[in-house]
Amino acid sequence: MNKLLNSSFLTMLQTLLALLVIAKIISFIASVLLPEKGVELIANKSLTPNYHRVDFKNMIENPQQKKRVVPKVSQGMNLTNMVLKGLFGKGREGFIIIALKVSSNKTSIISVGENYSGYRLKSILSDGAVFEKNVQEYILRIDSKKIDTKTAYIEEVKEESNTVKVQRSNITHYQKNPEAIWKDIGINEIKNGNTIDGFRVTYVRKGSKMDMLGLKKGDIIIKANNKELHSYKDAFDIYNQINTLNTISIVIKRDNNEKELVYEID
Amino acid sequence: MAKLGKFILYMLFFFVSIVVLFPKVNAYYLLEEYLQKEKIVFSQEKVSEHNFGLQITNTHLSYESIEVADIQSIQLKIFGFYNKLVIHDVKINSIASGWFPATIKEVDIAYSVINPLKISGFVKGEFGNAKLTFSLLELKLIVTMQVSKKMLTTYAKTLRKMKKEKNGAYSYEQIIKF
Repeated sequence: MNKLLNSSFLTMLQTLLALLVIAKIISFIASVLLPEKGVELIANKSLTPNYHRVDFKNMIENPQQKKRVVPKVSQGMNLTNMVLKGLFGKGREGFIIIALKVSSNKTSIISVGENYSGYRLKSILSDGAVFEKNVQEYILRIDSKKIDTKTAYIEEVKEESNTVKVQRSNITHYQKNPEAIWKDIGINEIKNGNTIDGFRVTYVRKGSKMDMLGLKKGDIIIKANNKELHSYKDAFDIYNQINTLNTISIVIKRDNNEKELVYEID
Repeated sequence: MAKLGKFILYMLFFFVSIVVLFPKVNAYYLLEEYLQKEKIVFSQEKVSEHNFGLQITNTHLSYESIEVADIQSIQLKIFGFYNKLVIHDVKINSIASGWFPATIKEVDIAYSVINPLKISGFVKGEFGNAKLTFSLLELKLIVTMQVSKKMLTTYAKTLRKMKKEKNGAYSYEQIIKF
């Protein structure tokens, strides 16, 4: 019996048990001292601006301009499918006879203030009609020489505007083909120590979808949706939330002047 | 000699006990806190531990709050004399796909007491295959890549930053400071 108790095997077993107990104590102390919860990424706040852009220029009358100003006409362009067939009245009283090209025999009579294919008839001119859509004015004229066959054209009133309409399909194209972004535009950060002071446009490929945004080589993008860009994270926040945004406004520095560009996403 | 044998046995047993009983998930949370200071965050992951290791599944890796990659699984196996880190199915954020293919199938990194000053590994993905070697003495990472056709054709710009070897492989060296 004593031999059994004094056996080296028992001693070894005791030592191993002691080591196990020490290991367990160490593990217990570690479980108390170590953190119980992990780290999670904090979700970003929405970048949808807290305001909506409203164009007041058509609502506020300029007291110096008492007579009605004919909208500026710049180069015309063949637009959609409307044909102006007749006018009756002038200014804000009267009506027009209009049809779609595809079914020119089906005419409609539209009074001032009524809508036709998404365009609101605003006023009647001596040789055409002024329509309004999304705060933009358009003139549809009758070609008096070829009233039956000539396609009337719509002229877009071009005033100095920093608003660019962007098709959502273009955004989707870039999301599906991100390598195309870097083929169409080059952007480098402007570092100031550990922070970034903005992003400089190094090139814009002519004729590309990026070219339509109005950015030029040398422009420095400093803000987006009222948020200053001081890191790649700030820029990526916009990219990641772009599907939820209807408007993006960016502030750029061009020739030491700040300029705001607004993009409305259709 | 017998005493030495006993001592080694006791140390081995003690080490195995520590590895099995140690709260590995909590140790992982401590690592996350350290990585957060370096602006690296693993989020939305499921962490589970087993006797000789740890498994992390379905995690999102972000750097400076920008989502960089989605990782399907990370397995850490600790045996003391031989330790292994295996990462499966890494999908890199699409915005970076202009420079590097989006999918990495497997990353396998191993450390053995047989070669205590070196950590080695390999990576397989759409880009091809890469061999990694990290010297613990010099803190130098050496990457040697056998690139795929896709990498050669679509990502030639990225390859220009690497050195082309005589056997057609591309290599890259970087000293990493902790």
